[in-house]
Amino acid sequence: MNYKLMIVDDSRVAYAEIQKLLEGSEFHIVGYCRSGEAALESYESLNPDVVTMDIVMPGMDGLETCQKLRERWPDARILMVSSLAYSATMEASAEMGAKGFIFKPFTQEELLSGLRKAVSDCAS
Amino acid sequence: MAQQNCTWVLKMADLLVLEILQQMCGIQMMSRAVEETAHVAMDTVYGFVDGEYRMQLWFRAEPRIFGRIAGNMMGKSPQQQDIQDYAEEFFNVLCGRFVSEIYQTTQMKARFLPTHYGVPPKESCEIENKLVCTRCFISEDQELAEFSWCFLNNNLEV
Repeated sequence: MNYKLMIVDDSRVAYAEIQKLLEGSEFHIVGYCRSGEAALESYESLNPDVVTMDIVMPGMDGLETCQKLRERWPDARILMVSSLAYSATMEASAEMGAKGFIFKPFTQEELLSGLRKAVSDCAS
Repeated sequence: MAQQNCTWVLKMADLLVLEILQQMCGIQMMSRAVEETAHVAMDTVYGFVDGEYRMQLWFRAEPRIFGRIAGNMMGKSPQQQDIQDYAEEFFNVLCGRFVSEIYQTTQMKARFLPTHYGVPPKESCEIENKLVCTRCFISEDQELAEFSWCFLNNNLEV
């Protein structure tokens, strides 16, 4: 089964890295948003199976975007991605319903493992 | 407290730089004693941290190192814009991990502001005459790099 992935990250480098690491995997990128605001606008039309969400972004940060996405689309599967490892941030994202948290820099194995866990409830 | 903390921050900084350069960029470097680098052409990526403490951080390296960071991550020869973008992403990750490690020990939180490639503004450390900590690194090709930081207020003198 293939899964549609939306990437939310202000860094085009992060996007390129994720794209490179997912080559040949079951995840294909259907959208790339450089801000939380853009993610909220695009989510419905892209209808992704899973979202990777950076935390530190200008404007609306990843936590707020996660919260707003989950309010509007409670089934949204979100994997938080950050180099910032504050326990309070991780707890807050879990409370908002994020499916996991991976730390930059991540390996291909860590990324795939996080994404696979996030979509584990997808109908097969 | 300040003296106690100093050693672990220096060690942690060394480990983070080496680990992130290796894992993210495929570049192996070694720590070494402080070098006189005034004669060496170096580029800089820098950033600020603000919150329960304030800090300025910068990573200086010979241009070839920044070229290798981008080239290794992209898997092809980088353009100048790529070199800047990849340097900033590398430094974002380094700063994020650095403040996370400080938080693990001190429980003090701060957020890092977007990083920049270029000449740091002449403010903060120099003007405020703060102590600058610098760690030096060298590659197997004898390329030099430095990671430096200084705390801009007294909430956290590590």
